[in-house]
Amino acid sequence: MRHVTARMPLLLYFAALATSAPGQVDVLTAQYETARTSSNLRESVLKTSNVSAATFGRLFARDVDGAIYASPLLVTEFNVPGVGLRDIVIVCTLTNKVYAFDANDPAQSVPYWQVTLGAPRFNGGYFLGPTNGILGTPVIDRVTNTIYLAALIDKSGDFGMYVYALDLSTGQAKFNSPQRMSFTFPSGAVKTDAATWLQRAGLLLSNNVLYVAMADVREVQATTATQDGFIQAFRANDLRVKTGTFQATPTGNKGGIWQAGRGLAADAAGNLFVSTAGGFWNGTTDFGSSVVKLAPSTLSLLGYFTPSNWDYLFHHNLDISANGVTLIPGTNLAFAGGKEGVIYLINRTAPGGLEPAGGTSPVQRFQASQGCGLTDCAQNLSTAFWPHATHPYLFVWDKQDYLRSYPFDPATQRFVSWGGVAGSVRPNRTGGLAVTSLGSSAGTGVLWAYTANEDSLTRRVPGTLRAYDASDVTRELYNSDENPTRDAPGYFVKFSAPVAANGRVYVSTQTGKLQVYGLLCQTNQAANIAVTRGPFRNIPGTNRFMQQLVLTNKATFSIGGPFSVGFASLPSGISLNNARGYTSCAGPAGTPFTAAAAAPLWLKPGQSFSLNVEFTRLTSSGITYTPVVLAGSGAQ
Amino acid sequence: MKITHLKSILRAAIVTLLGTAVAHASTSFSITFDTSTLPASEGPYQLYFSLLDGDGGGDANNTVVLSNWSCSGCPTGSLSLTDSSFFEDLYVPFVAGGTISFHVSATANADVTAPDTFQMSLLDGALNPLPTTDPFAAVLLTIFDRPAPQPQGFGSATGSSTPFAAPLVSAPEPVFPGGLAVCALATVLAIRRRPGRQSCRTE
Repeated sequence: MRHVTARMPLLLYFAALATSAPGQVDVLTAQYETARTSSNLRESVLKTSNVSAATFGRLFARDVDGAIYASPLLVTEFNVPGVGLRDIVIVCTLTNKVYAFDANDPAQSVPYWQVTLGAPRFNGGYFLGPTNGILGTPVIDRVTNTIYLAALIDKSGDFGMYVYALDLSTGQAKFNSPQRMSFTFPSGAVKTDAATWLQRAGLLLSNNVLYVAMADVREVQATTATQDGFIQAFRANDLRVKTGTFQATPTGNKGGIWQAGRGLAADAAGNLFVSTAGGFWNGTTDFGSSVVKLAPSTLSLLGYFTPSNWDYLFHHNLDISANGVTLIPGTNLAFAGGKEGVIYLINRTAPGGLEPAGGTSPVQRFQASQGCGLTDCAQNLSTAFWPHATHPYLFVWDKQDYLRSYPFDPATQRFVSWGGVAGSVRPNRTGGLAVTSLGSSAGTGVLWAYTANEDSLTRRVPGTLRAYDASDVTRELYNSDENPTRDAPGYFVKFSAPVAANGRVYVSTQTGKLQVYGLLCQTNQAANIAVTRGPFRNIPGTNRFMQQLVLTNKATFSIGGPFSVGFASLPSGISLNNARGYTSCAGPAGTPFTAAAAAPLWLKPGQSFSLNVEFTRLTSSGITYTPVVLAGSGAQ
Repeated sequence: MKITHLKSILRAAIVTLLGTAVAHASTSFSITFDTSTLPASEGPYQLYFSLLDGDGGGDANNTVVLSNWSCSGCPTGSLSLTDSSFFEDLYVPFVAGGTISFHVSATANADVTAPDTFQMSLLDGALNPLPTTDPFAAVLLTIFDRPAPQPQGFGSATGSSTPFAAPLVSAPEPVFPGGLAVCALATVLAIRRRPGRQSCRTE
């Protein structure tokens, strides 16, 4: 009985996700949702059976002006002015450009709109450069069709961090934006000089409040001894209104909030869970090297967890902000971890305070990776949590370590810390991880990773996109080095995770390209789309015969286009007049097919569309065929 | 384009007899078609009937019998079409100026993949179909997509130089199985008496 009740919350989590049919996914924030699991449980196309170098690869790229550190965001069925419904991908760069590209159509390479928010700050770096502009992942509100982001802008040597609300249709600023950020120190000093500020953590939007986190805000610009971490809250529909500010170490220093780019986590009530970098801790005012729980809007401290060795972590730059905080869906638990390679499992209601030696706080801690050594490794701890209904997993991939997976036991609500299974690759650098699956359906769990074989700190190095069977990470399904001519993404972006949704995988690069991967051939949807054939019609005196086909989605998930229909086994002497060509990789080879140009962008469960086809009959043969319905990315 | 009419109609009659023995779906209705508005200069006109097999290969599961003809130049007996191949058709010449009437009896069995289509069009002297409000120039259209299919009539397209009104179609009635058999038998007898008066069939 205990076993069953323990599993129920995860099942409820799946129910909560089902705000719309699976298959069609908007990615509006970093790591897919505010629990920051890095899991997309609504992927109906990509599976363990079709992700391989033979069937999956790079489809096209979108050219941008600058490095892409912020995760691309996806909005499906968006009404682009003057164009119509399109799936779009929002891309931001370190050069302060924002682009709205078509997310699917390889031929639509020109963005629907793009804006430049101002000159970025030049720093000449490889690690994060050569400019710093839009660094943190934006957040999108589909209710108001607004993109929120922060941009570091150089106005003739005056460096300001500006918070923007942009109209998703045009890129134009709205909601009284931009607003220049400022932070007040306990001394009364108000700081607006953002030359050193790092707005790395993904933004959070919750209950009409926008949260923006910062690292390296300095009271005295010339010294790193005063760098500090902040979070500021804004009313989302009027960015002039600040509703709260949190400073990590007001009487000490450091404690920057960067989370390796991962988003600020929030629970259903809007409470924030944030990890701070190494810094002062005193348990009353200063909370460096900690996980803090903050109240919605006001950002007042509600609780915290601090490792017992916080001072060691602080002074060796082994901070636990190198991963952020992940909320485990359907439970009252969260986990965090950092450069040490240690995972802390925390009670969200009572995070536990300062870790007592041998006590009950945290709920669990274990060494999940080898960590980066004794000091200052400037790395993240890549993690993803797969909330599978019966076999949830934590995936961890540290630099120069193997990919590891740890089962999460729904009955005991603990990680099986001795259960880590290692992959066989030890890359020099790892970006973020992401998981896709169709709920908990067998054979659908795929773990995506972005790695580099060389050190990316001092120079640009090539990246590799990798895919693993999420149920068995010893089984690599794909890596882009298998066919580098076709699939090499370009230069690796530190901390960047692939964004996988709707049958495509979006990979950021330092070299001015967003790479888009997917299945090389369209998917045969015979099992999911029913074809109802209308009567043949003929114009008297001609040998042309028309027929209307009605295609209906009989699956429980949405199916993304474009759609094609092939006509297999058509007798000789019968030709398809509106054929676009013959199948070469999807469906029986040599089958004439036509494109369903009038089909919707997404075919929802139960939804139908019609397709008119025309045959010419050159012999006395009958017109018989087997329809082959193809959908999604790739060729026919 | 021409074949032996008697053979064709006999085959249709046999198929009809067999078909009606098992068929439960059928329809029967009368057509009245005013041709007085058709200019003689565009003639001579013909009625053009076609039956398309929805399955595409010719499953011979439906037969249409056209009988009780009344018009100038029309056949005196019955004619029939069976979907024993993908596409079957008939031409019926007539002299424009009066009213054409005839009776349609048909089985209406469902095909597996798509319904059969029975269509009547009007051809001018150059054998071109006269445009109607139906995109495929049908004057009469019956889709065998239900046990008692509903015939639809169409008039000439707007602005046509050969205007005509949509035919009057009586309310369809189900046919008891023996009815079509009798009709088909009558067809056979009529053809035996007057074989030279039938129109031609394509293919």
